[in-house]
Amino acid sequence: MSFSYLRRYELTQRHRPQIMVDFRRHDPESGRAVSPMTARANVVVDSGTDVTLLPERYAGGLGIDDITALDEEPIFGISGEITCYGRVHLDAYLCGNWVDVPVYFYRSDKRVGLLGRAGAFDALQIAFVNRRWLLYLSPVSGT
Amino acid sequence: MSEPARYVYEASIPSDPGQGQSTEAEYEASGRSTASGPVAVPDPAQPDQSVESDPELVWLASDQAKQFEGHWVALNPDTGEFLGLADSTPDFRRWQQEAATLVFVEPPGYRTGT
Repeated sequence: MSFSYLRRYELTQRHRPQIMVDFRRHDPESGRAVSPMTARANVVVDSGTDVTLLPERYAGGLGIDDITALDEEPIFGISGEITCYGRVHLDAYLCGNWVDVPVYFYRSDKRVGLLGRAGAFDALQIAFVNRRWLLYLSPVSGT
Repeated sequence: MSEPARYVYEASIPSDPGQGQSTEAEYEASGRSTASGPVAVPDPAQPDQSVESDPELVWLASDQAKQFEGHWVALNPDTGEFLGLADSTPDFRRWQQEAATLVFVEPPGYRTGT
């Protein structure tokens, strides 16, 4: 299987597969970007997470001043339930393409974001070789 | 978002247990090609793509980053250079306006997704 991107994560905290991703807002109807600002976030590529989760801090830079004005959604994990707010459709810059990714924001400031499956994993083929801390990525054909 | 020359990577699973824990230096020295590891083949026919680690992640792995565990920091998006703390909302917004990359420096410890 061939891939066009390689990320190494041997140096990250606990060898977590983190990548930097640029996010921007777009109009869900036209698909056009609605803000010239992007938020660049470090996120863990997490196949066990249903949707992408970002700390509230990034919302302001994307033109979302008050995340509590969004719909409240409980999101469950092994550590319990956290209240998230969304969902917002953002573009995420992945493997050279802007990809439509549904995103929820959470209020904790003390966690990095998670790149979940919805949208992102649909647009990519991903392979981990965890033993070497390598993450291979490619856009799925047609995206 | 500058992107260096594109490669095509053939993902493969290392078969030699002794080769499993390669270091960054070994990986670089290998020319990104080892007998049992991933093989990177330059593909000049393809447009530019991203290959290297993000500078921000390189900084997060540095000794300097350890001083800021549990904090938000502003980094130069091109070089990964530390610019300043961004814990407070005013500082965070100020760095945003200066187009800095803002990241949270995770403290040590295991984590789950949520």
